[in-house]
Amino acid sequence: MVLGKNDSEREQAITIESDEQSAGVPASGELEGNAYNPLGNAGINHWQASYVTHASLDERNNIFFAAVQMTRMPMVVCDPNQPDTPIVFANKAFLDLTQYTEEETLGRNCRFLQGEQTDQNTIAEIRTALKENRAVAVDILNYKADGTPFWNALFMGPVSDQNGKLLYWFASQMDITERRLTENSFRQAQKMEAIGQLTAGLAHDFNNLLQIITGNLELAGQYAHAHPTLSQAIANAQQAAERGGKLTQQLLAFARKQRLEPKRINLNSLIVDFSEMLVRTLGESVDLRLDLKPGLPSCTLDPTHMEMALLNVLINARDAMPGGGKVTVATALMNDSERSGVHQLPPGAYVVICIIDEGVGMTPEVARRATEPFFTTKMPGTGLGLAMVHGFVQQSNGRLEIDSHLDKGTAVRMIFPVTLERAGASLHNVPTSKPDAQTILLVEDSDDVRQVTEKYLRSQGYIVLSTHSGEEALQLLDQHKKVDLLFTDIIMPGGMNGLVLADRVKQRIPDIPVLLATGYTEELANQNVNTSLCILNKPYRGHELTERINALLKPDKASF
Amino acid sequence: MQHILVVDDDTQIAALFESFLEASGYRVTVAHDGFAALQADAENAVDAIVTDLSMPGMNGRELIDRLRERRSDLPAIIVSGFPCNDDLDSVNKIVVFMKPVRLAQLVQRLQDLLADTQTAQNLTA
Repeated sequence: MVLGKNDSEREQAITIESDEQSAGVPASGELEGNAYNPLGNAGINHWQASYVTHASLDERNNIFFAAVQMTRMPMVVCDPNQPDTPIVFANKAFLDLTQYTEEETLGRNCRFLQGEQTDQNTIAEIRTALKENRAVAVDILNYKADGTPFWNALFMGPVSDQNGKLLYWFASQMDITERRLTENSFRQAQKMEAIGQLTAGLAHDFNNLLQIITGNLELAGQYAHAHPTLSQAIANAQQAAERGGKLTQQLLAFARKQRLEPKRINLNSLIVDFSEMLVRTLGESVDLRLDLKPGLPSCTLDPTHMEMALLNVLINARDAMPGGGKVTVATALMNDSERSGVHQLPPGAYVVICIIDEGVGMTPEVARRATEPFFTTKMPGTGLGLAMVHGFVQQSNGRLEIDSHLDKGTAVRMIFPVTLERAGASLHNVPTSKPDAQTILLVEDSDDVRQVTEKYLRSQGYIVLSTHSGEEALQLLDQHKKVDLLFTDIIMPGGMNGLVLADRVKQRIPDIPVLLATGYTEELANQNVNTSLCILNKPYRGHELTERINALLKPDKASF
Repeated sequence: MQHILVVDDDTQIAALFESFLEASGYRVTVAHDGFAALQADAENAVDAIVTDLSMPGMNGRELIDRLRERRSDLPAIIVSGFPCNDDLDSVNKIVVFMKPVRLAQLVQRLQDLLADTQTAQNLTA
């Protein structure tokens, strides 16, 4: 607590400055503490208590009164000799700060500035100072006339007559909200950074240990077929190790160190495609509404992690409404710099996805800590859901915001930068060869294989549209309706595999011939592959490829 | 029999990959750091490499770069305990797995890469 001298201490104080009409006790740095000091240094010279010969408030004809009305430092004077110590004077700056009129201010106790979230301990500090007749400096949460909260750097000191009888309390105020918020978010960011480093290091070491455990279990499993009890024991241990692996993944996600594969995506499409899964997860008691901004621009995100983030936030929304209710998933475009400034983002265009529930909401303390790892209010809960979402959004150059009101609900906003438009995939591949040439859509994730295959097929007289992913292949297909054959690799890590792509392409062109390539035939057995599909085993040779393609394009003439 | 170079400073992990790859029909040479790996390849050229990322002396990426000075199309897999978000996959043609990786999955990808390299060689020949 930051208190000035009391009556007896002041009597002993050597340095009382005085002239004929007033005297004061210099602060001498005593009011330096955790409270904000608007002077930028330890206040030495300003008075923490004063003594006056004229107690009247009516002398308003001199330069000192003008100064008090002209200063931008809010000030009030309260009268402790009247019941409930009302404000008897408030300067103009005080009215500017609080937005109250003079009529609304005079005659009221200063506590009319306090509200729901004002800290009771701070109020107790002020009471102690008043009781003991000491000066006090505190940072207190006050409220303006329209209900807006603000952090007030409050200083109060006693004004007495020359006999030491208390006449007034003087108080000055200052709005330090912005500074408080900056300090808080800086502290919070530092804390998260430290936790992030710790968890990332831990996850790395654990992943190495888990590799040894899971790998050896996998080896052991191969030799344990004949022994059901042993096989079961190994399978159980494997499951536990997999759970351990998931946990380290979550830790890395929070630490913004997970492996992301960002792609250009449209959030509206992602939400629509994923909504069936969301509805299933939320259950019947939750009414999921979509409010999607038409024509939303794309952003660059890892779609799988984006879906997980959405799912995590929606599960929280569901759990916040045990009796059921409405959850809205909304998208919006934000492109004016004023608004991005409010969200502490550099100017630019942003896509906003907002999940709004009508649940129990969070207290400010819970909302503040909601993204910390292992902080949970759910039983059972891991405390990693929002921590992961926070890590993912930050790693994707976005921003996560949580607005929550107790008993009213929660809005979680994820804000991502818009990806600038660029030309469609591999348009330069559009060829201009002979008009009757047939077009092959070539999809292969290995650059080397794709380049040589494309070159080879061109040399054989085909038009080739080529790309490295199933997603881009579908875009190419939509741009160039005429495709005579799909030749795709089966295993394309990190995206749509060749089998899924073949299905999607057949939805658009039902009778299109499809040739699949793979270097790993055992994979096909596990995927219930339709045996009618044509498969070319890697490594293949040029003439093998030509034969298979010719056979598919001219089925009547060719034989396999 | 195709020859695979396994590099990891954790001897237990290196031994694990070695035994699984051998059981899958590959010939395996193990090294515990980048310099030993370069030496091993100089003595007996490998067809593919499976390496850790962070190792003392030379990391897995540098090692792959050095080996590819010898053979530019050498299939390479990094198995890392720490995610690396550099776009190794498309830019440097390095497949990245995070530990713990399923050994069967690792072998499948390795086989796929070896087949791709062979295919590219066939079509350019």
